[in-house]
Amino acid sequence: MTPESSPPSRDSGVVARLRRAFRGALVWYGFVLPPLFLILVFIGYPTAIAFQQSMFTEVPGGGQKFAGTYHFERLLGDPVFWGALGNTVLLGVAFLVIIIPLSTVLASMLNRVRRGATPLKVIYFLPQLTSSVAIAILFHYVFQPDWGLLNGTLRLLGVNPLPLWLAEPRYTLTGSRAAATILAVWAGLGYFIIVVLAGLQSIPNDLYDAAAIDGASPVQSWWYVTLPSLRPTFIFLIITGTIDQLARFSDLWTLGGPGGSPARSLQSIVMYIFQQGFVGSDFSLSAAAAVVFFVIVLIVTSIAFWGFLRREFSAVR
Amino acid sequence: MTRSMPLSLRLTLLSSAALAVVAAGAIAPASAADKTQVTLLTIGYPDKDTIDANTGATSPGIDKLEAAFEKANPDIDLVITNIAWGDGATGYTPKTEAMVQANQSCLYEMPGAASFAKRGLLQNLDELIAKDKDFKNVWGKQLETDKVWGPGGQHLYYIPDNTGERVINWDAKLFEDYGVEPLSKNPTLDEIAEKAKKLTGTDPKTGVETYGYWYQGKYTVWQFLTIAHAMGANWGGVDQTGKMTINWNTPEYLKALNWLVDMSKYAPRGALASDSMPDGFLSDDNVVAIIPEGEQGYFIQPLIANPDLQKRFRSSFNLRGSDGVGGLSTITPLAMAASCPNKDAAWTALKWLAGAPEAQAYYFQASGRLPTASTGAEAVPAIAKFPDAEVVLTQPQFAEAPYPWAASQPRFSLQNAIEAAIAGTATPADALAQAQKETEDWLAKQAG
Repeated sequence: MTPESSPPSRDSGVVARLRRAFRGALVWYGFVLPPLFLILVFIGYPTAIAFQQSMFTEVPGGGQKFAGTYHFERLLGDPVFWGALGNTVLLGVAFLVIIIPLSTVLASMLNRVRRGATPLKVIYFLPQLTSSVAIAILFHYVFQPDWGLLNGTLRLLGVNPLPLWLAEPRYTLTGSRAAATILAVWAGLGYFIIVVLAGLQSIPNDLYDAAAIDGASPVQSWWYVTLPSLRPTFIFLIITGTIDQLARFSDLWTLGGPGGSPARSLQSIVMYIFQQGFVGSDFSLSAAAAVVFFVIVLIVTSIAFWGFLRREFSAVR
Repeated sequence: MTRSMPLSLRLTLLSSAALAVVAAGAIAPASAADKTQVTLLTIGYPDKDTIDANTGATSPGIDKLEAAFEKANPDIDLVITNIAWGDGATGYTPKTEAMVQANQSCLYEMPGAASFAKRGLLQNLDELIAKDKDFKNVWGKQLETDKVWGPGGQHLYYIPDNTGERVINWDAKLFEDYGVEPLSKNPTLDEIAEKAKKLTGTDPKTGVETYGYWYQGKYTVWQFLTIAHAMGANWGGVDQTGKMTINWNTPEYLKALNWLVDMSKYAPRGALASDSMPDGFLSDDNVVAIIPEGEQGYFIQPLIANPDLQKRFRSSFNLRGSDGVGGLSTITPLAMAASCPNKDAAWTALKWLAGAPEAQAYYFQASGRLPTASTGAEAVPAIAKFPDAEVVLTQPQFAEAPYPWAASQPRFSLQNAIEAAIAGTATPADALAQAQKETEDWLAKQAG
């Protein structure tokens, strides 16, 4: 028997199988590696540097010295940081509390529209395709207290005194935070409607038929069939909406300038991070705030996953 | 059919041509050698003539400045490197730093010149002035207010070659409607307060609601600092070691903030949300009588374009302190590198670039920036025709020294304090205390 014709050993069989398997998957690794490389370079590396920077202090003349938790302690004692965090949470909660019910109602109505539904969807979705900076510039005019579009309309309707909107930093329903929330709802409504609409159209008709046989009215069907069936959609929107709101920056920056005017009422946590780093040149404090922000997003995502998504994934499996 | 040239003739022609080339070569370097080369870094001018797509106005390229200079100074060969303002890593700051480090230029338009002076990289101009028997100060008090710390003490390290400005604009028609005396050329705080109160209400002639005073919401910090300076406040300073001290929490600043909060009652209710001039400014719809912080970009070109407006929208000098200066400085400093090899020629060039009417005219035509020298009227005759030409053209000479923290945290802390006080979410005293605390944190960080 020539060596060429000898049967392969058990080991070489395993290696060959692995090689075949790898060869088959090679092309897929080829597709995955470039984006992975980009993620490591542009997200992984800066994240690691931010963690490192948060525990070091720059020394005048160059170099760094280890500072431990010093910058985190500074952060905890900084009322501006807490104000920015409070604004971020408040604006995020207000946004979700308004936009989810509103988009659900509008999507349910849109779902019933037989003619002209597509143009309506396009119209609702258009703000989503517009630059958030452009929208903020537009709303800056809309909410200008003395000659803005909204107060001009209210003046015609005889409202007196007129709301101050962007000139009012207090916690009121007609202050700067309310204006920023209306802007965010207007800009995000189209996306929420489209997602809820997709959720509505995935509900089996059998459920509605069964409800009708049981004598449910349209409102009862909506309450007892539609809303529970939209649970995964709501969870998805709450999670992505929360993360989006936590990272809010460009529209607030455009409305309120670098300091989140008036009186920092529009300063979000990301604006705080930016201002400490690039205006105050305090990159260590900025990095510490970024780390805290990272941890908050991680906690929100973990709660969402363990509390809601895991159950949905299990149901799918 | 062509005829071939005889060989002897060809050789004669070739020899003649070669001689001509050699002769020209010998002459040309001799001509250049007569000139002293001065290199200059400029920032943000058009490289070539450009036409504004909206107005059709032509902005002259930087070559026009070079040509005008060489016409006036035939012994100097000015070589200009013009860079864009840019942003971040590609901005003018790292480019200027690189050019200074590599000794690439003698003269620099140099925002942030004070920090270069402190590092010993700039020529002390006081020394050159002392040696210059023909020196004539056409920049007024700026030569004093612009002194900064260098290795040998506080000296003049740059001269502003052009500037922005902040005047007090006022609407003469509203004053007339109410029968209030026009605002004086050098108004005081009391005069402004008294007239603003009278001008707030319903216009007796038109029946329209009007306001006596204005503040620029998100940029009120500059107005506040001018008011405070007029009340005797002093923000602090930088010592020879570069250590900065800033004091917001003083009785003068508190008095100024109380004054501004009181005056905000005579402004439109939404002024806190603004970031520029009031709606209707420079039109028949204007309803605000006294409008401080009139920046050149807001009113000069419209008044030139529409001379009828010059009678209605007038300008007074900004408020001044007891030192005779007041108002935000927005100058472009022109400095000389300490490493410059031909300082005499560079000094001649610097004086011309910062003071000659041709240079001042160029800056206005190319970028709308104003003259810093008293030759301004000659430089921009269109402004010289304004009823308040003297105010518009000479206000920059009375501006305060540039604030070294103007783009840093202390500005934003103070701005927030002012907003909080005007909005009523903090008392003026608490607001200033908070600004002081934030500023001290920042200063501590700067000191390491």
